[in-house]
Amino acid sequence: MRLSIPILLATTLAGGAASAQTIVPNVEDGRIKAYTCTGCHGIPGWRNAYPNFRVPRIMGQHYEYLVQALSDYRSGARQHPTMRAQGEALSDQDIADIAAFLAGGAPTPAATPAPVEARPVDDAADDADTANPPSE
Amino acid sequence: MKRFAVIALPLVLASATALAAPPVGDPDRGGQIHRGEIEIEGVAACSTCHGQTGNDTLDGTFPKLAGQYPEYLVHALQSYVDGTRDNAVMKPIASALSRKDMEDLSAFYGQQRGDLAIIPRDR
Repeated sequence: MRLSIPILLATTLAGGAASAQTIVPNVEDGRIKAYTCTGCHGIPGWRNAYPNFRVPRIMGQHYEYLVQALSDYRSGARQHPTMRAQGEALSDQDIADIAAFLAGGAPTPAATPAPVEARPVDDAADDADTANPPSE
Repeated sequence: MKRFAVIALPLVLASATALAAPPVGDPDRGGQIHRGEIEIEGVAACSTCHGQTGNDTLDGTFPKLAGQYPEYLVHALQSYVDGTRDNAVMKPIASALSRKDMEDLSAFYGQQRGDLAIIPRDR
């Protein structure tokens, strides 16, 4: 818990810069962005064809796992034609938002895998003697 | 409309085939594998990471499996084996499982209660 305040602060400060590295998941944006997902994942018993299986239940799944899954579809590490096509269009922010919505809320900053933006060396030096220097 | 019919007919046939697929797997034996009561060389008890019922996982990087569709889980395990899903932890584990092991495990997880659901319509 002691770590969370510096991380929160760093995340908030970096948020203004809206850098590509700093992702703050937004559940409400995710709710809108997940509209496409419901075409398969929102229909009871909807089936994937070839191979034949019911498309997985993903509402309530973990945030971190969902981020990994969508990122892997995007990169091709996880192969599925439909999901690859969906994943290709997603930004890191999109993935974080959708995952946060499906997981039922944004994770605490300490649990967010997206890295906190690196701070300038001078700022880091100021923190050198504090008990809890900012970490990823 | 003609065009619609041409597209719709194969879909209907495909659905009928899909519904014919019978449920497979022995959930009791799957539970024993899950808890490590049946030892399989190269396979740690699944519960170690995926939790006692497959819902209370070690952390957020391990997916919840409780209540997931069994045939999807078999597909996932098979994907680790054939490499269409790239995961350093699951590949050796899945590779040590027989088809029956996969089906039994998946039947077990499918029966557990958990958080997983379809995305609600009234999002």
